[in-house]
Amino acid sequence: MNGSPPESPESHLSERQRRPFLRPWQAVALPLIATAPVLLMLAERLPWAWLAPFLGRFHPVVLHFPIVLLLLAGCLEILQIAGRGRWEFPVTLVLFLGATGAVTAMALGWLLMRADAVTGGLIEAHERDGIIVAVLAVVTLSARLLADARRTPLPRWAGRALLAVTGVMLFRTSHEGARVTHGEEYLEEHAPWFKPKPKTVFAFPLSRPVLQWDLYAHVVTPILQARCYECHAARKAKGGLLLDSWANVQRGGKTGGAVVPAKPDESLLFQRINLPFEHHDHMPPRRKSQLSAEEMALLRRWILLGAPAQGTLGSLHLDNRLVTVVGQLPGLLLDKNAVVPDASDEEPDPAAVAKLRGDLAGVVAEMQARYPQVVAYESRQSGDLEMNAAVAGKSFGDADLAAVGRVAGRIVWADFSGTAITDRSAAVVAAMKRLRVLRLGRTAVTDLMAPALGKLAHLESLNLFGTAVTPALLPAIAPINSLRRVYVGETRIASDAACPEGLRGKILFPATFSQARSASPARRAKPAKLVVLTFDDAVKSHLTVVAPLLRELGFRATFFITPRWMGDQSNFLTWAEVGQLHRMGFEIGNHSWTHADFGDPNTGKLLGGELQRVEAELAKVGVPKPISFAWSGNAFGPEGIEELKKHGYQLARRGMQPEVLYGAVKVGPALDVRRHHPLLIPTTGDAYPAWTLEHFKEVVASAQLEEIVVLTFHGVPDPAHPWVSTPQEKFHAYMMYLKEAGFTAIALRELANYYDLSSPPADRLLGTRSGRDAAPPKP
Amino acid sequence: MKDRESQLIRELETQRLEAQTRRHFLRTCATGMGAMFLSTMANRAFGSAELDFTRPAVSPLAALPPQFAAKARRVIYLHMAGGPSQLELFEHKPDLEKLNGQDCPQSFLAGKRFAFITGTPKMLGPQAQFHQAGKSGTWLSDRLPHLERCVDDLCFIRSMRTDQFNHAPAQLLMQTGSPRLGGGASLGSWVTYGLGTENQNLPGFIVLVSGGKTPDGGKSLWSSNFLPSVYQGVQCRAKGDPVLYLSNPAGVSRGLRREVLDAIEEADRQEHAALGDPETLTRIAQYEMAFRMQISASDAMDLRQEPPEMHAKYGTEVGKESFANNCLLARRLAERGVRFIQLYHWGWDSHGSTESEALNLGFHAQCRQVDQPIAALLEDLKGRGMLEDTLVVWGGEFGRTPMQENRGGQANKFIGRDHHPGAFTIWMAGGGVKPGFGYGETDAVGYDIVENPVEVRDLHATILHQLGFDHRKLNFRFQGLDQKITGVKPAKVIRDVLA
Repeated sequence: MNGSPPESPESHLSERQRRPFLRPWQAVALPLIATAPVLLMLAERLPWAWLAPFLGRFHPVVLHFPIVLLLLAGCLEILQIAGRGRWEFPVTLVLFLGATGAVTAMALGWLLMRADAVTGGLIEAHERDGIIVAVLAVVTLSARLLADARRTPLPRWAGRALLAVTGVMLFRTSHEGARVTHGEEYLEEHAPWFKPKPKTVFAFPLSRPVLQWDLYAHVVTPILQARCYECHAARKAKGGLLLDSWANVQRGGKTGGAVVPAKPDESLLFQRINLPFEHHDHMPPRRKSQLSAEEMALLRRWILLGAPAQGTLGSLHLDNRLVTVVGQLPGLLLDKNAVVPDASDEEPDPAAVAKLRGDLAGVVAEMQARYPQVVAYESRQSGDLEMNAAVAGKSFGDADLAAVGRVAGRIVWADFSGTAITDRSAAVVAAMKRLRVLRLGRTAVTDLMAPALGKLAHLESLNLFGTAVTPALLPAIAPINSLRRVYVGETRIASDAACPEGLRGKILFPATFSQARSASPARRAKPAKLVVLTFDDAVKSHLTVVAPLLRELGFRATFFITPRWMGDQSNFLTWAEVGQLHRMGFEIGNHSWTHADFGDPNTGKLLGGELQRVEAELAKVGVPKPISFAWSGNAFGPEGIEELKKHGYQLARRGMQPEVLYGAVKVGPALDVRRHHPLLIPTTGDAYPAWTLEHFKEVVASAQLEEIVVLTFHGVPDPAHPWVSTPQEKFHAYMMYLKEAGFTAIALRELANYYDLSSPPADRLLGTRSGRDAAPPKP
Repeated sequence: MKDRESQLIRELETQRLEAQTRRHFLRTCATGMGAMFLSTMANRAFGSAELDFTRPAVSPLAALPPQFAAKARRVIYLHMAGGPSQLELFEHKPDLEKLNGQDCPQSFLAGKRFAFITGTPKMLGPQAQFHQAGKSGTWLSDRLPHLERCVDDLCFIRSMRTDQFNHAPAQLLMQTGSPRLGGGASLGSWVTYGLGTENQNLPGFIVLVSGGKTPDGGKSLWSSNFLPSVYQGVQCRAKGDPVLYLSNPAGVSRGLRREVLDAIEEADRQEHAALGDPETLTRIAQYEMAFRMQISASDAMDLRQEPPEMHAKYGTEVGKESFANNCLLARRLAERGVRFIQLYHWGWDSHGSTESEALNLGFHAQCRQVDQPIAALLEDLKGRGMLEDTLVVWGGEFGRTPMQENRGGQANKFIGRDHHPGAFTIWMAGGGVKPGFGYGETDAVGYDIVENPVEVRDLHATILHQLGFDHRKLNFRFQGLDQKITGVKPAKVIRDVLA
């Protein structure tokens, strides 16, 4: 070891090179020059006064430069020490730039604070530390420059210590700044040791009736707390305004007192919140949660009352509507960020569920204790609520709803059917903004509820069954896009009411029997066991066998007369005998003159003339003009129907066709007066010789409750037409069965009692035609 | 020789057993116990946590939220006891008509067992006319003209099957998930166990019976079995006292009854203080509910409160025991927050051995008994907005064969069909099922399922799903098993029928 100690790198440099690139005084002066604009801005009367707030907004941009540069200076210095002279970095230059940035950022920050008039603990600490950082940076730079120039006895380590202190202060300052912008828990929020600060606790005295709540402490304070404290309380006071105590509210901010007692419109607090949302000075700022109309009304009312520090709702005579709103406040205020979860079978994480239920869990538990079975979570996975007040019935009224309304914003399903709630609950209903299903059936609500209903933008199903609502309510709910069903049974909204566009197809009218009946007042309820007996073709045995038996059993019937075969007087009736049947009390019906195929379009048009010919003959034997007709050969068609209508025929019987093939021993359709046109009355059973009593029973049993069995017979027996003949013994057995089973037998004309002939049903066979029966099955 | 041999075996056995020590036991068990432990832990870790159904002892029927958001809040189950013939109601099989009277193909009979059919039966064509109805164009027979109005609200499952061909076991399977008496708890019990009930003044599970006969499965059909007995069905009657032994005996006023109950409660409370048995509190709660029911049940069951047009709509007659009355009662009970309303209507056993069992005779009357009331119930629920969240289920315990029954090898006196577990039709309405929809398909004669078979347990899983439960999670520990209505075989929710 004979050499000299290692030379410092500087020792190799020439005198000129060693000269600092700045004179110390220049180095200090330059950062100060950076603050010059600020000094100018102080003169607020200058025409460019706008520059101050404008430049202030650059604080968050500029501050990153000194942070990076000062940290870089520190790092380079450490590397330089560690490198034992192997490297040389322009530390001083970096430090110079950093110090300049620090001073600039400080200056801009100060401008920002002034312009936005932000005060508060956190801001003030940031302000103080920012100044310290800037000063420290400048001092460190000066010390270094002095040391470089060897003009100071300060040891080298002192300069390094100063740099270290600057770095520490820099950390502190930037952390405070970050807490101002991102929120106080931003950095630590996900750290394992982090304990969240308890969420805002609103001082709602939930156990007390709403009227005993204190207007300032329990109503105004929570509103301010929820909507204003973020910027106007404790550690932050934008515009110099603190709203966290009554005294602070009175003191106001830099633009003056916040409230003028009794004059809301002159009170800055109310003016600002009442400005249009687009207005630059509107409060709360755009991206913050806004006051609801109800909350504003409450603040206004409080100011009107002189902004008192004390006094209960009761003593201040708050009107009912506002008292109702007060009841919902906890729900409104707490529910700022309710989340809509997807219903699924997936097992939910209990922690996630607890988070969904969040702050309201306590309120809900309290509600559940007070109204058991009424308030419940939608499911075990959900934070949303269902309200089933219907189980409480009439004991549940507006007052109860006002109290339950505290959780209004979370309710997605509500059933108030049969409760005592009225239109006075409109405000609470309107507050249930997330409702999907609302049932107001059998309550006293009226059209006055309409505006509230119109506010339920997520409503899917609305039940107004049995209320006094009228069509006037409908326009209010028509714009709700999500609405799918509106139940208006037993209301004054009739099915033919004008329906606003948007509700078309969504209104459900119950298919009530009462409506059906009111549409056809003449319709009678039919006896349970009813058959219509008809006898075709004027067969002799109608008078000799059928009529006496029916008379004996007290049965009525219709005989359809056609002169087609009446020339054969041994097997068929004479006109005189037809008159005799009429006088026995049976109905005489028209069966056409020629028994032709009136399903044929050309023949169909001739039916009118045929009807008249028969009518004329009947008139001669004292039989009045018939109202019943039987389609001859079971053929029918639209032309024939027109003829029948023209000639005043009200009822016409067809065969079992097209439902059942002619000649088959099958059960035909039973008459349903709601389905079958009165001029196309089907035959349920067309008697053939092959019929058995069992088949007859089946035919008779085939009618449903509202249906009527129509039976067609020919002769009993019918020697001329044996394929439709009914043996006398069988006929006797059939009729005896009807009698014993308690049936009533009627004539076709009596069906007018059960038909609404003024509005006949749209039979699917109308407009179609059916040809004459295929060749009759030969025996 | 033999003796010595057996002695040797005994000795060896003894030696082996003596060698078995506690350590052997623990060593052998270690893997098993470890696995048991692991599976328990895995269950917890992977989120099959059990649902908690505990309630305060004083309110065992308190409503609990469903596991997930439910589409249906209550069930009206219309059980058509006897096995209604799908071939005369909902299954349109024109090919069966062509085969009418022909011998049944042997392929249908091989390996099959029937309740009554023996030898080779004849095929039997449909005994009713079919037509397409509603906007959905659903094929429907002429037997149900009223229900036709509601056809676009119905969701048919045409491919139901069961493994039971006798009434009692098949009904038990349908209603309790097990074909054995005492094998399972009934669906209504499970639902009230899981969800409780909304109206604390009425039972949560009410049973109404009509058709002149209690179904073959008997009262076990609404038994809670291993579930606590508060969840069993309460049978109410349309005639006389709605609930037996509910009203005060002659000479006992309501005030006196109150005093008696207060005294009993005092004694019960003392007993509870002394012994701490929670069942004592349950008993107090039950007495109180019975007292409240004296008013509320009578009110709910009083059909005289309904206007005449409502009676006309349902076809009800006050004071009669009928399916129509029970339908109207079902609506009144649903309106009052009863969770599960179970109707049974006997008389669908259309063998054809008597006139009332004949598909072409008695069957008509049978259809008439239910057609108008069911349509009225559906329309009434719909008009009142209740069909949205009331699940109506219609069905029997099995279907009927496409063959004509030939009891003892002879064609029956009347036209009828035998029990058929292999394919039958049920429908559901409301409660979040697809309206105007059909699911599943049978072959050309309705004998076998060709598409989407639905087991009874699948139906149960689907019903529970609509009520907000995963059927695997609605369980109850009994005899070392997590009992559930769908049993141990895999069951699936029929998602295709869900709206």
